[in-house]
Amino acid sequence: MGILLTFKHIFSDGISHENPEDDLESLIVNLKSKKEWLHSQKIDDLIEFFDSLGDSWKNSNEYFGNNLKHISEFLSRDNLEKELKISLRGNFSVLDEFIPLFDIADSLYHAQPRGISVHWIAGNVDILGIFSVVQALLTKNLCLIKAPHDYSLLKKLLLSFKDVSTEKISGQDLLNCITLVYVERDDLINQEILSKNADIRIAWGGDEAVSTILSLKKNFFTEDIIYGPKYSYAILDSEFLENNLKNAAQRLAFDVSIFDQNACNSPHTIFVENNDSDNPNLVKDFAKELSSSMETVNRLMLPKSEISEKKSMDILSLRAEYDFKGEVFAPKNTDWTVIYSEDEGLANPCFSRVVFIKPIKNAEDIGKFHNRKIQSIGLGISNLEKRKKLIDLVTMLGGDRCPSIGSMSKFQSPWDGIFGMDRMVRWISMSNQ
Amino acid sequence: MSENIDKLIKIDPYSLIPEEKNSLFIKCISESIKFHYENCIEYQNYCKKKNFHPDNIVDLSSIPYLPVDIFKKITLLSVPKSEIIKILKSSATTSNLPSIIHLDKKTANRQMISLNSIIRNFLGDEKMNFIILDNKKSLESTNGNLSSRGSAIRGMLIFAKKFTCILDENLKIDSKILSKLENNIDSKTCIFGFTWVIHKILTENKNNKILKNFLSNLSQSSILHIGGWKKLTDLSIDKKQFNSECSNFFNTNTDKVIDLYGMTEQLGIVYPDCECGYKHVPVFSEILIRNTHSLEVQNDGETGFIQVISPIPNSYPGISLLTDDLGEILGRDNCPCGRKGTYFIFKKRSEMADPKGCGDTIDI
Repeated sequence: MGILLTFKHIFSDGISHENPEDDLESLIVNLKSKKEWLHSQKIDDLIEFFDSLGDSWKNSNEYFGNNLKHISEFLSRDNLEKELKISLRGNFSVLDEFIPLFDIADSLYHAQPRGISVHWIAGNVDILGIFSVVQALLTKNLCLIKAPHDYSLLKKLLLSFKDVSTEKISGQDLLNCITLVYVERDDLINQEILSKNADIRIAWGGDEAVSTILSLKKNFFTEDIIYGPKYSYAILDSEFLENNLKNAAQRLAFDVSIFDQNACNSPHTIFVENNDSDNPNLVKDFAKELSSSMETVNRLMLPKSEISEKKSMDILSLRAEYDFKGEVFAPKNTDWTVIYSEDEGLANPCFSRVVFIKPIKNAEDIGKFHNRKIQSIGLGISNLEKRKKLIDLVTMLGGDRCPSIGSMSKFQSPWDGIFGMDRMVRWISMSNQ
Repeated sequence: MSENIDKLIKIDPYSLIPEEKNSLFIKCISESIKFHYENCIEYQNYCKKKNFHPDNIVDLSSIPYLPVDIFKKITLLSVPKSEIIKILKSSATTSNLPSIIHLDKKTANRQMISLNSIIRNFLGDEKMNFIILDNKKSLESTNGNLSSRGSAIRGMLIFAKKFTCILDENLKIDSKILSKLENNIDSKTCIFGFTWVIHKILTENKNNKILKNFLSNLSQSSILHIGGWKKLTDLSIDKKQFNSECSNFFNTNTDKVIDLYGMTEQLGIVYPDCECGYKHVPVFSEILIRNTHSLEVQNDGETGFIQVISPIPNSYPGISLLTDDLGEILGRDNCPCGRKGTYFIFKKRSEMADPKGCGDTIDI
């Protein structure tokens, strides 16, 4: 294979290389040699390791990004056990050995790893790689990661595995099961090598990126897990808001701010059900309250990332448009923007902490704007029966998850309608008689 | 009502030092803002939302600005529709929507006077032969609507003794027109066109002997070009390179290649390059540079969005516009070319790309 400047070997075996001259296929051969070691690890020991890793990040003085709290929660033993259990038919010991499942007596089941998981990580959210890599390692799959253009935080997080050792697993050993490379999208030779060697292709990204990955040649038995382009919004009703105005604003300010709305689970529109008998000022009062919370979150919790001049102008342009057509709540700078608008439907995403508040007469009317691109629908609806009915409707029409507001950004299974870890294993059965 | 503005636009565009310009300019802009505030209810509401009242202008920075692309989204009028004589459409860029600008007679007249005054300062009083690098159909209006290219070209024709459009409908050199023209060049010549069209002609005609022969009979022509650098920046061509290629191709000096910065949303005011390569602000407008994040006014020497302020628009409230172009003010009154007033340069945008990923839903 020729040397391409569009490729870089970032690290393998826990050793940083940053070398554009290494050969990708040799790296894959080296990675494959770790297969048996990983397969021999017990799931309980792997959980123990990741739980300790989460603690280590949480207690570290080093900066691991704005979303560290999120990852630590994800890595907690309780969460990982729940995620594994829900994904693997209720018993994650199935990853270690043949066991009975449910009350089926005549068969035993074992979930085998598929092999090499290749992760195409998008540049929008720096921690996405961690979510899919941890899931792949828990299911004992080797990880070959195609890093985004700015991979510094991802690299730092992964290399910090070395700093953690539990009774049974050393971080260095686990790190040997991960290879991080950078391959430019146009470097089709190396992209194809990644794809052809994948037993699982995990793609995070927008339309263009995912389409490119899907067009690459792959093995017949390769499993594709696509976390493609998605849109998220929230819906609240008057009853909920009247009792939780401030709290709802704080929770949603967090949901909007955490990934600067670059993630698929970031809300861009917040609908407030408000019919004629409700308080007519409620929606605008909420917009004001949300703007106050947006300021607090930006100042004290999640400072906004730098944006391009183009994005800054997009924000100013949108603000001016809605200064004429609606009402805009925003600081003098471009840190955040809350727009009150009576335009029907989902607002086009501007990203960068620009959120629309829209009144809607009946929450169920939102169904007519649904399609498969809708992912998270944050809910603030007090009545359980009403909530269930709405969830059933909007998910039938395409939504993937309906978390409570404030939890929209949490990564959980299922994601995009998929139990990721279930798709990362091959199910094997044997007779128990 | 508009006496001060009419007086302002008759002043030599680069003759006043700040002490002389400021009070007159503030008077004119106050006059203009009051007019729009009283006659365009949408603009009045906008000002109110910005806690601004025309009686309380502290300085230019306190005047609310509209992002220049607002005219792509909203129609704003400060005069009755019956007074509109011309509708201009800007070139649709990334958004695929053009700005739509409604002109009344007063605005059109002011634009003509100011443009005349600026261009004469750079080209001199003598009318010239104009060779237009465009097709003549670009100059035609349809149902009173005129494209930005058409209006820019038409605006320049007041400086022309004669003019000839030398491109065919596919924007290629029309050799028949060229051969007819060859025997009719008898005085100073100005070649005018859109920046990207000129670049296209340069690229396509490197070996065009007929054109080269024609150009060899011209010497020291002025090359005026307008329309912005976005398309050329995409091709990684900078101004220095363009000027050098242009002067070689058209057989003239680099300081005769003049880039005109201007916009349909504030037509009549252009900011030409002087022989030192700097853009000059005439007395009938002013610019501010705003930080691209905080939007605060920057000091001279700092980069930011260019805000253009002018009292010339009468039919629409386009008096204070924030552009998406980046610039830097280099100084005031002390350009070696001798022109008074603010002078500035364009700056390249940063190469920072906004993140894309799973939240990147273009079409929902």
